[in-house]
Amino acid sequence: MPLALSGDSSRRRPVPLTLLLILLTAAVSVASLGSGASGLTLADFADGLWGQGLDQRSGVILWDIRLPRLAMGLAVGAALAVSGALLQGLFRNPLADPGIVGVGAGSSLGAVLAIVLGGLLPPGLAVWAGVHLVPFAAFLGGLSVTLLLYAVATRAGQTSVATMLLAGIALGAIAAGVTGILIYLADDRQLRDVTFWSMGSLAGASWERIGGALPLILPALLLAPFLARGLNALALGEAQALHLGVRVQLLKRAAVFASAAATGAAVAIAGGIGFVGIVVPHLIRLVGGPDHRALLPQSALLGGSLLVLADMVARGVVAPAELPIGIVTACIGAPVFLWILLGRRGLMGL
Amino acid sequence: MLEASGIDVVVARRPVLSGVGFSARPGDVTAIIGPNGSGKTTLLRALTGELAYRGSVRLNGMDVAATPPRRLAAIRAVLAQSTQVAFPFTAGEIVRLGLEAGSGPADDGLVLRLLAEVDLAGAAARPYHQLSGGEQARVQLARILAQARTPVTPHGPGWLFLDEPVASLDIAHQLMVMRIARGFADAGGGVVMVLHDLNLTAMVADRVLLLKSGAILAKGGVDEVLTNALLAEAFGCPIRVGTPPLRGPWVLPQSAGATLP
Amino acid sequence: MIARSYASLQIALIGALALAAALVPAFAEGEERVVTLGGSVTEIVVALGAGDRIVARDTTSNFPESILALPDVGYIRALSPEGVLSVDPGLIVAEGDAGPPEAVEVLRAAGIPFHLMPEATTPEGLDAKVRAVAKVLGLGAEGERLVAEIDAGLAAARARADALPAKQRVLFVLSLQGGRVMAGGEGTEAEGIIAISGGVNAGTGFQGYKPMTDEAIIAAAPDVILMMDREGDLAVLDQDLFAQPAIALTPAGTNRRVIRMDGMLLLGFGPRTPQAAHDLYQAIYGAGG
Repeated sequence: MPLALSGDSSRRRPVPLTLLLILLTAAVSVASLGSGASGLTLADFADGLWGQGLDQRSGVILWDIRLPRLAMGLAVGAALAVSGALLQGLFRNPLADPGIVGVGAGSSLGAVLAIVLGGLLPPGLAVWAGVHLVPFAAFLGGLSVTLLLYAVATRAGQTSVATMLLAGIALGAIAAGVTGILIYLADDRQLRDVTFWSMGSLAGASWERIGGALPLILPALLLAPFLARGLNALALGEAQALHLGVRVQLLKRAAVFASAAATGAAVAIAGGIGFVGIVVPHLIRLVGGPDHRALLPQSALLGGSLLVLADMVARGVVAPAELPIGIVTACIGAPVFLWILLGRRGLMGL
Repeated sequence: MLEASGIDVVVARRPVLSGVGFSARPGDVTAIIGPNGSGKTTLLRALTGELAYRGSVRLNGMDVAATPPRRLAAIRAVLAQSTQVAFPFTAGEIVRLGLEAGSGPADDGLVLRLLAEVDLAGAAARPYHQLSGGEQARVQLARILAQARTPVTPHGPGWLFLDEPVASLDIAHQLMVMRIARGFADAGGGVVMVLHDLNLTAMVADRVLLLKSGAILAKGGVDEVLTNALLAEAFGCPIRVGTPPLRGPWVLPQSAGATLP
Repeated sequence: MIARSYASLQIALIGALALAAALVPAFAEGEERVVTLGGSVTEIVVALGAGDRIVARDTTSNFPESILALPDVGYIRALSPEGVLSVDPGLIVAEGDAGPPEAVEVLRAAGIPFHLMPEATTPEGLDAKVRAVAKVLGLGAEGERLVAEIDAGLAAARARADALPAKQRVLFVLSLQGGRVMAGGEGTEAEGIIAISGGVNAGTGFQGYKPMTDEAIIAAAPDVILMMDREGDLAVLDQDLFAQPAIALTPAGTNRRVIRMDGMLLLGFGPRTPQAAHDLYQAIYGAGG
């Protein structure tokens, strides 16, 4: 398809890179299913499945632990990476990340509210909400802050992304303040819970959680191809995008809310996981170029693979305990990010 | 046909344009000239639907304010004074953006041909940010030409709206752009261009719109508008039209005559 | 005839013994591998004499020292289900706040009994917790013995406390981060152990472990500062403690009286609580005081 248009020596054609990433995702998924603290391997599972059936313990490990963790890792990784790419395109800035529209601060606030004040709910409601209270509150918090930001930044039907950015900083500070008050009120156990939540984990993976989050993550992934062309044009500026035939306001609204929903749901079920949203689109842009038609699906694939890989590290390094996955993504993501910035400044147009 | 009437634009409670009305025909190059701050760029932005205005603008019979962006993009392309590109696209990818926005089949070969036409043959794979200012301006021009690639479209004549297209170009490339604009108009398309350079205006325009302080001072053919009196009134300084000065060099592009070769 | 019935009796007896010998290991083996979660639960299991059945523990379990050699399955409220399964447990005994709930569910779904113990911040609660752990392990008799031992120790502590002509005011300081004094308020384990040891908690007017303002510290006028024994970076040196302006103005500051004790011993409500009460009493009032 593209002749010598998008090829300089440091870029690959889109199709081979996508294929490569699909293969990577498949390989990482298989490796993830075959590794874990219990020492069971794929061979063991195969023996069981095709032999006399798995015993109860092995069955639980395969179907209720490893498989849901894999699904959750792929979904959350893809959600965070695609959201990051959408928002970087929207704000025309490779430094944007999903937190920029307030989702991060809002989700944290929602989760901390639920953790610290959850005991104040009438017992019946608390039981009904049960294990879903914190994820639900986190998602609501993220979405509320995003809505508020959007409302503040939109006048006469036009959304100013610059206003959104600044208002996001202000709202983030407010959310942090309220969170601080809640932390002050918290007891020891709640404090530990807040800390662990903010570092993220796939340990709570269950089909129920994934089922609840997937309808919120899918719109971002499915809408992405339709937003790609508009985001490409938007790189030239809003006025230029308009003249190129893009319905800019609609694009903004779709990008903001799709990424807020996807990130909110991802953070709600997995806690605070950083760096995936900002680093993955960067890496793809470096290798595959900035065309969003390839960037968005490739980010999804790489994001999912990286998170599954990070989970394997989190599960393996201090077995039988496990590290919060946010620590792994930060410890690996931050140095990689710095290395990218230092090495490739010219190409980024930064 | 481009028909504008009663255009009022207010920015931050200051009137920037008042009661501007004119029309432009396909086949003509219409130049908008005037001093800094006279509202030239604002007028162009109103004509292309980029900002809010009172009044009416009709392009090929369609009300610009009420037409969806996609339909407008099929019949007209707009070149801004400067364009910032946020991500490391190549020159070819940027021209391709114009190609996809226009109507008709998207042919990659056209991208290469247009780049050659703006004297950037072989630059398709080069990163845009590594090009010089003049080269970048020409890439944007190629993008516009890719979008409005046929002077006559299924929905009426195609239009080019250019805001100071030669600002960062050297003489040779300035001529090249004028030649392209002239060619587009001669083939049946419409060209509306904001220009600073009065000599280029004289060289290429069929109709001239002279603005001052947000209102039309004069409109008409080149000889009617480019007169000592009108220009002096518009620009507020003594201007002589037509006769070379008595002393000092006077640099003109090679074709100093009334028509281009 | 008697010889024949005698012989069959012998055979039956041998057969029964063989059967019992075969069954007992099979029964004990499943229950042999116990995972304990929560420092006080671990201590109770060891105090009941079942310490050799523990195969893994959590991060908060640090007594007795032999426990530290066992695999650590992580923080009790952030368990990794596969990690716990990897130590092949037959039974899990945990403090009431084990989590996350999904991990508990998964472990139960894998067929492992997961028992959550009731919480304890009072002597009665402690007895109930010990009995609950004993019941789960099938060691009812040992449980009663331990409860009696604990009750005796606490009764002795109560007697000592009642015999005091005047009680000293004790302020528990959790940390001194950035000049702020984090103190133990009402409803904390610190308050509990101070009371049992014959002291009066100087941290009043607030709940939980909170930063205390300078004026409140001076008004509280503690006679003694109580802290956890910490090493390395977390250690608070006397010079730093008494350099804190508000503390310097208290009787504790004037007399430079500070007591440091092991954290789990002091605040974990478990079998060592009577010992903690005794040690703290000695530290406050002196031997034979």
